[in-house]
Amino acid sequence: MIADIASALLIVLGTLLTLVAALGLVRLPDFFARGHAATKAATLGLSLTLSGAAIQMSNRGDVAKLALAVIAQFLTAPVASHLLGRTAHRTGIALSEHTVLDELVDEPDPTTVAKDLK
Amino acid sequence: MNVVVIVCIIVSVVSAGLCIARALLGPTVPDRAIALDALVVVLVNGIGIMAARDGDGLLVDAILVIGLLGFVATLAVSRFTESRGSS
Repeated sequence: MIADIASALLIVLGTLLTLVAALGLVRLPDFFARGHAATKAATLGLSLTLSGAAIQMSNRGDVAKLALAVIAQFLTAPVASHLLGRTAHRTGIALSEHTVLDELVDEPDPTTVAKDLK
Repeated sequence: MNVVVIVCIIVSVVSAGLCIARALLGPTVPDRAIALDALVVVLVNGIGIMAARDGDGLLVDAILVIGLLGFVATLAVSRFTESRGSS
């Protein structure tokens, strides 16, 4: 009974967090804000839902597999988001007009530096 | 538990619709890629809900595989976009 309630609570929280991620994806102004919303909220939301599912599993191996899925999500989601963000910045995607600071903009481009040295 | 499952599935469908909307609208390739990545997360979330309802071990395997495939797909799109430009 208590396990059911805990599991239901975790699943509802996780599903609401994925809804927050989807809302941020639609409403935020530029790519970087959208990526931030989608990755953070979705990672935590998925972990909560899978934890709730793990409580319901009768087989111990299934619990281990779900733990593995949570760990894989925590390791891969930030990497994927970072790679997409790097690609977006390098290909010159426009920032929102509310952006206060772009710390990467003064970084010397390695190709032009190499040309200057020649 | 059944009410919770139904409500969560409806919320997941709404989330998936929002992700698809961004994937269709999104002005640039990374926008679409992050939207599809979020769509994979919503899908895995939904499979997790069904697995919790049934206590089914087969769905757990699907969760693992789809989660890792989503990462590989995002990685591939990112590398490809970096070499080709993202208009």
